[in-house]
Amino acid sequence: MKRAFILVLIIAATGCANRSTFIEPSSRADRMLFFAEQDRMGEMHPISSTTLEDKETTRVPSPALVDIDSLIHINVRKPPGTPAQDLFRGEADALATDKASVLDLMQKLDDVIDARQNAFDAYRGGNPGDDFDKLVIDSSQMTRDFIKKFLERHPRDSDVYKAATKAVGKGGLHKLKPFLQSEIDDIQKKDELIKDRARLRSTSLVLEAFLDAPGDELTALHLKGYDNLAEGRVATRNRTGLKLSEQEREDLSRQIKATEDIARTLDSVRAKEKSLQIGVRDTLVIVAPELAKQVEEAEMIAGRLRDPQRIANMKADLQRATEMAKSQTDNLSDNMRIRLDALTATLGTVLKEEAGGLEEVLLIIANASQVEQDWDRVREAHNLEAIPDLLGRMDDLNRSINKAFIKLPGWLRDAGDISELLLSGQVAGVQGDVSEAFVSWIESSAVTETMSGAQSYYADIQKGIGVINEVGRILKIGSVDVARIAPNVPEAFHVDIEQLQDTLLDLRRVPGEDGDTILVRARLYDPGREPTEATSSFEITHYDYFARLVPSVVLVRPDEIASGADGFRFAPALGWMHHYRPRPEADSWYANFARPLQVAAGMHAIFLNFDNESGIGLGGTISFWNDRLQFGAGWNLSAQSSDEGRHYFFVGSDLIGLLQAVGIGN
Amino acid sequence: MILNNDRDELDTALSGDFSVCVLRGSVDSTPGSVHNCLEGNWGPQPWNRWFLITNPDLLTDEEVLNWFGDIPGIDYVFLGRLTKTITSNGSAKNDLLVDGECDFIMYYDKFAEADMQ
Repeated sequence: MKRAFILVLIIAATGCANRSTFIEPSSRADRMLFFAEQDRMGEMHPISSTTLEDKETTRVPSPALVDIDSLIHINVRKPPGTPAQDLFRGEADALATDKASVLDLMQKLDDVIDARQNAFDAYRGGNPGDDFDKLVIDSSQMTRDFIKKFLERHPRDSDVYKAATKAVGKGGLHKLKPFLQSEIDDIQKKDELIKDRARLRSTSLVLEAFLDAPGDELTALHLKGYDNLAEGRVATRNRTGLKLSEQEREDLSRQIKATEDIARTLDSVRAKEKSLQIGVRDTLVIVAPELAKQVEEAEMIAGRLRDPQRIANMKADLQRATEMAKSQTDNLSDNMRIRLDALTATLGTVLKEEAGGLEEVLLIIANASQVEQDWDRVREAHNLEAIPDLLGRMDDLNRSINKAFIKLPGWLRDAGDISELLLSGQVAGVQGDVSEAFVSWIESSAVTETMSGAQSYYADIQKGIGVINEVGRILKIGSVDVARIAPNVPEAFHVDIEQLQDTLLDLRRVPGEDGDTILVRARLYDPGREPTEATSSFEITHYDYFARLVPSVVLVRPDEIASGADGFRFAPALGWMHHYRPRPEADSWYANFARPLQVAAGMHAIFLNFDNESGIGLGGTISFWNDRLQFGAGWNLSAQSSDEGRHYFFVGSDLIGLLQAVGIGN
Repeated sequence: MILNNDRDELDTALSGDFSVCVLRGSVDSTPGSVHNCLEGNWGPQPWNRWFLITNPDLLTDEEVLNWFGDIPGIDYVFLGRLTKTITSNGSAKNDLLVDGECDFIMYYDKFAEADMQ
């Protein structure tokens, strides 16, 4: 009884609805934004405060739960304490006028060229008449007007005019286009400069929004008036849960199959055909098949890394390279010998046979990476002059690695020694035959094979690290869940503080799913200060009515059966569950009842197997905590009589959802 | 076209719907340079004509008086396409060259002015 109670508590904990959370506004940027949600029925709900009346930001959503089909209104206000900024407005306006004038000239030029061509064509037509005269007169008038305007911008004694008239002699009036275009470009540049200057002297805001869906890159979302991103299309979401997209259908189909497999596995455990341990492992693999793949991959990589033949070959190659280096360094300077010794020592560390444990793996990765880069640069350069620069970079690398792996004193000591050896002495003076000997050593088969072995070993280690990360991602452990840093959106622009406007985030245009997060980041640029940043977040959920198809694993029992066991057995079921999730501010008796229990009701189909006879049952289900705990009863359509198990009842759970809630599977 | 011995081409241009530019001077003179420019690839209309009169005797006294005012500094004249009235005249050096180089934009302007009349 106690165990059952604990189990129900756990189930309830995973199924309880999240609640909106807020933090206190702390910066000017926080207080600039006031969020309000407009639900799909058009009703407004405050987010940034408890009331819509004065739109005073008293809390920052972190995250606030919003309905998946709602509109988020973002009221953007000038932060308190920002002086009016009209700097450079005059210059910017003058440039805008200038640009319009050149654009007008460009248009006039196009018109002139067309008009002259029309007159020319009429002339060539061989029947010049009144229309022809008109064409000639019109095109001539346009030509003169254009030239007059052009001369107003560029008098005859100006350099631009001289270059322009010269260009016309090489093909006609259309050769003036590049001149006008370059003028437009120049104005554009000046405009940008002025904007930059203005930005430095005035306050501006950059507002960006992102969709954060687990397992995907952050997607930038359009905010009208604040970026040039394309607006997404409005997607109609069906809240009855029956009109599925292709992806949803695929997911459901996969989940149903997994549910069947889990039910079969668990029933084998119940029937003592499998141990509990094997059953749990099999269940995990069913829920997260990619886990099994990663485990298999990890075992394969581990085998390759431990392969004694591979290590022996690498050691033999290293031995050859070392001996060759020794024989070739007889005639080299002491400095060069030190360097070669250091390189071979590093190689030796890479191939350390007794490597075991994380520290050693990290040591190998760090050293191999270092040697690899070292090697590539020297080999590409083919001369010793590249070495000083290379050593400088290696020193930088060493410093960063030292910093990163400060907890590994043994490795630090080795790395420090190697670095010191490599950096000591002069290399610039080493010339001629020394260089030749060095290059021939680098290019020898002993060395290239050693390096190729080390590189392949390093690649395997990298793959191994990748597998570890992937397993972490699947199980949602380790560093994979750290908050993701939203990148800068290139399409977002600085909006002058005097030109702020309200904007809107239309979630119907956002391809998000239940549980995804929306981030809105505001960066306030004050002159001469670091930008102030404020991030608000929203979790997408379903409020009010929605329904969905829920595959579940249930423990089902016939009410009565004449022969065979009448106890509980595992079976897969598919429910069509209807939910009503009250909004946070709802205060009715039903809202207060439904909110903590997450009640849903619906109907189900179940695959039965009473007394080794398969059948399908239909019935009703009532569920709690987001379908985590289900109770159902129904009729076995295959049973001929009551004692063949015509009536049944069950207790179950959407096991996949439960496992996903604790971080297993996707 | 350089006219030295006869003025048939000039007469043809003057009797048809052509805008005409008449330059007077030797081939090596400033009007001669402008004539060279006009012979280039600058995109005149097919009803534009230009002549360099190297032999002053080819022009009548009336033409000289009307077109050039018998002023030595005036060495070019543009005549309207339909009316053959003077649309502009003056010093080729000042009006049709810039820094001694061909001023093609001006040729467009002068011929356009002549084309309208």
